[in-house]
Amino acid sequence: MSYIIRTEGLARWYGEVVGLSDLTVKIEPGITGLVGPNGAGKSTFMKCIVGEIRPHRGRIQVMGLSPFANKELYQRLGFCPQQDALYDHMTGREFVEHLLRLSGTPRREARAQAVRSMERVGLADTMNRRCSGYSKGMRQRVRLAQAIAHEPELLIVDEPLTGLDPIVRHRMVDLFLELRNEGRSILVSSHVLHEVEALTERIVLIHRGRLLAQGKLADIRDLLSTQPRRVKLPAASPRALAQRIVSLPGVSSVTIDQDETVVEVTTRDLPGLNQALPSIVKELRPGVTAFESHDEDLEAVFDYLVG
Amino acid sequence: MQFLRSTFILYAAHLRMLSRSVRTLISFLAVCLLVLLAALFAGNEDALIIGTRLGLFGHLMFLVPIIGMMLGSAVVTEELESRTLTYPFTRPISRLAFFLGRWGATITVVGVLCGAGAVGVSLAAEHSTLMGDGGEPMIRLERLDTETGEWKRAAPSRTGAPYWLHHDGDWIEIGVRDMREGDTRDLDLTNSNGEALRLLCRKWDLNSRDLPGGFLLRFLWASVLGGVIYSLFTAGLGIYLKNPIILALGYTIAIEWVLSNIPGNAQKISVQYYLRCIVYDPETMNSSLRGAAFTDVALLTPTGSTIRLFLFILVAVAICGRSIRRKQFTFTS
Repeated sequence: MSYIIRTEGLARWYGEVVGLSDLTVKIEPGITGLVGPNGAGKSTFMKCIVGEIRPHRGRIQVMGLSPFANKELYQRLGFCPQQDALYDHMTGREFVEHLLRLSGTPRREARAQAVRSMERVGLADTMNRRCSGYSKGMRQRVRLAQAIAHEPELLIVDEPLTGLDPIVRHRMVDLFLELRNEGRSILVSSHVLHEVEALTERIVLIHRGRLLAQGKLADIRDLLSTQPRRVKLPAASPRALAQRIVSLPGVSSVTIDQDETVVEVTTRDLPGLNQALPSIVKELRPGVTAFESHDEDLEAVFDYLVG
Repeated sequence: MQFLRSTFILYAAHLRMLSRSVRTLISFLAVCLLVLLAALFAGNEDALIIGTRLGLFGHLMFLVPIIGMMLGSAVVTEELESRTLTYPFTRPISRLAFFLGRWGATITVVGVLCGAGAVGVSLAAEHSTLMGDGGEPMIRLERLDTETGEWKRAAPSRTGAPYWLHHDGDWIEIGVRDMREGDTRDLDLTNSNGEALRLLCRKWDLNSRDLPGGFLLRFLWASVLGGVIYSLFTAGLGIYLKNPIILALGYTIAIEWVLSNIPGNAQKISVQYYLRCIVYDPETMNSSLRGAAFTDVALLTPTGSTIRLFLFILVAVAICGRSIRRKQFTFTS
């Protein structure tokens, strides 16, 4: 298996604050979500990947290259930083074109590529407006445009969907999927977990600079089988239902909400509950309208792991 | 080739940005103000006095360091402050190209501004007729120097309006309408040192409106070179400091403004010493600068001084290049 990013015992600190601590991770081609709460070390990790900073300890290789100030790597890598910074005196197109020219693209070709890139992020109509006049969402998209304009093999995107309205966010997710289908690898960081979920199943979860989990979301969730899972059952007669469920094996708690409309069950034996529930419902007719398990999503996994 | 190409792209982009920046506008206005002052004083003053005092002190010592350092601080710090440094630094370019391109644009603007200031002050000193054209007789108040027995100028020359003298707490009006060219009038007054005063009416001596031969070129060269060095100073500091201008101002005040004017060899550690060596000509300028601290120090030839400054630039650029290649720049989100 070839990995696009490979680290071994990566550590980086800022004075006494630990940014990364002994992070060993291998990331495969495709889209990977880098998730973790604020201050987990996501941005530090990304800065190490794009060679903005050097690790204090450990090794990092990006597409087989050491990243710090590596010109060969920068030909193949696109970086969309988190900070809201553009050359405000330039227009959006000029900004992308300028950076393309720095990548070695001839002037005429750079202009055509910049226009294409601005079109891809949905800024075709406003590409000749100065960056200072763009809204926050538009600025975000210009940053993305410069990162994809030179058609990099690997795209590193730091919090790309923050500040975008739902329509644009949906469009950006489509763009990332399109880029993946073109064969590009993408590492997306976010602390908004459902953003990452919409993009990929593969995640790298870090917390306090350490790797907490890596792999497919479902696989990680399965590994957490010892953790109790929560199920919500909206019902017309919740008390009778709760009384019956509490006696099932593996059930550790049953609560009814204040409006007495939903029963929340915590169980270590979800398959057992799944098996028993139809007969209970058939027998008691408590008016169950849904079976909602929120533990399968990334948010829940995150909650379990980070605590 | 790629190095030169990326250097030029960065040069052009930064030049475009600088040409519209507030810093450049402020520098330009400061230069205009100095030239205007030179033009105002030039009508009543010898060109060499204007050239040395406003030129050497006002422009070369005061304005050139300020302009150079203010614009030089933008080379790295500006991109750090605006957090845009990530973009060029994640492109396949040499970081030295980044530094040289932006600093090149800076010294272009600094060179034009400092050069314009030098030419402006020199031309104003020689040709300005804003406050008198030298063609009409001027009235000058003179004092009798008790040591030398010579009459010396006691106040700036005036046109033929009544002369007001402040004497013993009162203002005394002295009519001068009847004075003609060549007339002198002894006043029955003395100054606070007990020196006799008189009025002299004379035409401006047109010869005194010529600057010494080669002054303009030497002054222009020193101003441009000074701007280049001072801009390099803050550009280099910007690699390590967020606010290089603060340290640079401290340095300017302590070394370039104070130390360079204290008699003794210590002033040789200031850039001003080397710049003055380029401009100063003991044959023609001694009279106008008598008493200035640097006239008491052994001076280098203009060529020797230029060579030393060039060596300094080469070493400083090499250090800056090495520093920027190794430096890790971090930005807060």
